[in-house]
Amino acid sequence: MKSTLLKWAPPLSIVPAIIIACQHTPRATLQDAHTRAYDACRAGEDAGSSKFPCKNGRAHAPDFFERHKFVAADDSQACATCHTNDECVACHDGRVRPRSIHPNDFLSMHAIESQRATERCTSCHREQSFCLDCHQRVGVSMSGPGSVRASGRFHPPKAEWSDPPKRPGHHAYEAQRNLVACVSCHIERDCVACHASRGIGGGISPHRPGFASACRSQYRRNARPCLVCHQPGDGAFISCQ
Amino acid sequence: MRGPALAFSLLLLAPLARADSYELTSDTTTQFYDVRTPTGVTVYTRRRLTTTLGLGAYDLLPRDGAHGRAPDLFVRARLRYDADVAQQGGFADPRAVDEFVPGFAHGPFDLMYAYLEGRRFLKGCLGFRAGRQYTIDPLGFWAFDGALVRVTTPYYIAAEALSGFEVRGGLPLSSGRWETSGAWRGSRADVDPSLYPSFQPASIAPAFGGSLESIGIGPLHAKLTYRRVYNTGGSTLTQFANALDQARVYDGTRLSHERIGGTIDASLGDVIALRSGLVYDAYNAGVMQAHASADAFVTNSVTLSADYDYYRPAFDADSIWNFFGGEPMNYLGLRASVDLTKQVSVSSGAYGRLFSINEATTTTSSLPTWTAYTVAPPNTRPFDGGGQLAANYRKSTLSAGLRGSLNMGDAGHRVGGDLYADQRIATRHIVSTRLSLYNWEDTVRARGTTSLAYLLGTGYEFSPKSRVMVELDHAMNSLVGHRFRFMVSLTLAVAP
Repeated sequence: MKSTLLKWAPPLSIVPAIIIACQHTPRATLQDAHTRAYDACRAGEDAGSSKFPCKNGRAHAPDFFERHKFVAADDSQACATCHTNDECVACHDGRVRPRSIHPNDFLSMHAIESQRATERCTSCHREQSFCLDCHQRVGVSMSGPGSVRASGRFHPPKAEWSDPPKRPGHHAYEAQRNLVACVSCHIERDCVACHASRGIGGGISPHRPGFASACRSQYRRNARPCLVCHQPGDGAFISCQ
Repeated sequence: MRGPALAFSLLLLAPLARADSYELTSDTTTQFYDVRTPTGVTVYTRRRLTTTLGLGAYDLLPRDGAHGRAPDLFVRARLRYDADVAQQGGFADPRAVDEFVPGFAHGPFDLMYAYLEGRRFLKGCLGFRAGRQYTIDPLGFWAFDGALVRVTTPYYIAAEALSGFEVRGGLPLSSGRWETSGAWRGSRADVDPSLYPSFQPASIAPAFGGSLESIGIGPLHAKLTYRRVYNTGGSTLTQFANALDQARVYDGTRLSHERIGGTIDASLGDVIALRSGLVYDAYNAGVMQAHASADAFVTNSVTLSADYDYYRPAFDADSIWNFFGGEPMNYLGLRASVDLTKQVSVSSGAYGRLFSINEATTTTSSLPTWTAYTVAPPNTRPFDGGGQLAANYRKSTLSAGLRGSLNMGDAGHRVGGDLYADQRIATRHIVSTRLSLYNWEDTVRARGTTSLAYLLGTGYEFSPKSRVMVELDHAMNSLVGHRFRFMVSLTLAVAP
């Protein structure tokens, strides 16, 4: 059977020996050669082979799964020397919780992790196409169906979380700090209620300082989000058009 | 369930007639678990079945003897069925207003990938893929239906071009897993147009892009990637329709996202390796991600490293959240890795994560009273920190390890670790164990606990790629009482 381990020919700078060897190896033995190198690399039984093809920062150290993005994002072809897409998507598009990444009762503690390390969550999970669906079904999202909506409040008391005066712990600061965490539960309707312009919402602007001077390009390329919160004739909005 | 599976089988069996070799694979996992309160009340129940059927058909072209240099053509495909039979029927029923969750489907089929790939055409210069495929590049994971062509030149550079349609949830045999963040989309068939205005109808999303990559330039490697995706079809604007604000719909072809990513790597012999990358979001006119990493190979067994990460959220251009004041996060980590023996490796490190708050944003309001009442947080640069320790022991039949982490900051803390071991007995029998202890506190929600968990698993390997595993997972803490997960997984591979 043909080897499925080879992808596009990887850059010669990375694995010159194996590529040259592959090109001159009878097909029948190609998979065996790769399998041996792959096994040796993983098992670390052979000191020489264990460095291949992981030299120069590609060694699979015990914390490699936390750092592999630096390698895979830069040069996925090098990874494809040993790994197939299936191995990547087994975790990144998986439907079974990998315990090495999500240990213990991760369902209970994933909230604190997502508040802290969003950039890591988003390598596998999109907020509105993965997180939201489950949050609605279990009732922690305010847009969930009435039959499952939790009676308890998820956030701190309203007086602290959303009422004036803004103080440390107010949702305005928490949203700036990690907007992605908000989006994993809330739909745009939740935000529009207060943050859309007067007539549509409460008129509390969420924009960054100087936003109005740079929004024209965005309006030209996709005006949809502008028009969710502003009427076309909205005074503050005219400068963007 | 039968229809898509039959169509998929017919589609994929056709190449088998021409293939010199093929492989049929399947992964099936059943998971049974409940989520309970400490008093034993089940909050919700999961009875999940996930199964995939994969096919690889190779050597579709006749061999000419020049192994490794001759043109090569093959097909690979995988279909997934993912069901949770314990979920209430109303979640997927638009008529059940009090239960319906837009976008939820009972047992959806998902064509993960299905493509024809060619390599080494035109004297080794041309490669291509056609069909549904994943891409993994500086812009991250992505999936599209279309074609990708790669040209490898003799001048140290390779070029790729792709065109097609982004894979989007709500379209047939599709999952929204790799859609750009920020847009809640899916099939609105049978959904009342006046309800769920934030839930946008899925429509085709034309996409194109390309990349340039260096090849064979000694210690250097660089890649530049570009991608643009469009949204099409109508989208509801009005979130609260009333007499003054009638339901408005925005229609037409518009940008979804446009991004440019670049990476540069350099290796200086066995001394040091440097990597860096950056992603620029053209719609928001700003850098959304950047990273830099350095590894110093102090000795054959000691590596010292420094990692930097920058992240600022950017969303689909249909999303209102691009215009909110989300601020960036900066991460800096230092670590060391030591191979103590051929079997034992240890890695440890510490990190800091710096968040930003823009005070000016929080005082911008059309309601003057808010400005007067604003109290800026005493620390406008919230800081998180922590560290991790990991160790592996590997011998021919035993793999064991430790993985612990400490994360702390003003949003709370999480500290704990896992001990694990996987032992192979008499070649084919597998025993797997894991012990885990974590303490955590979430200050935003004012909850936390200490959780102890263990896992016991056993399995049997029929062949190198076929096995069955049975696992029991048990977690105990004051928030959920006892949580069990029972899992059976079956992996099969058939090849001539």
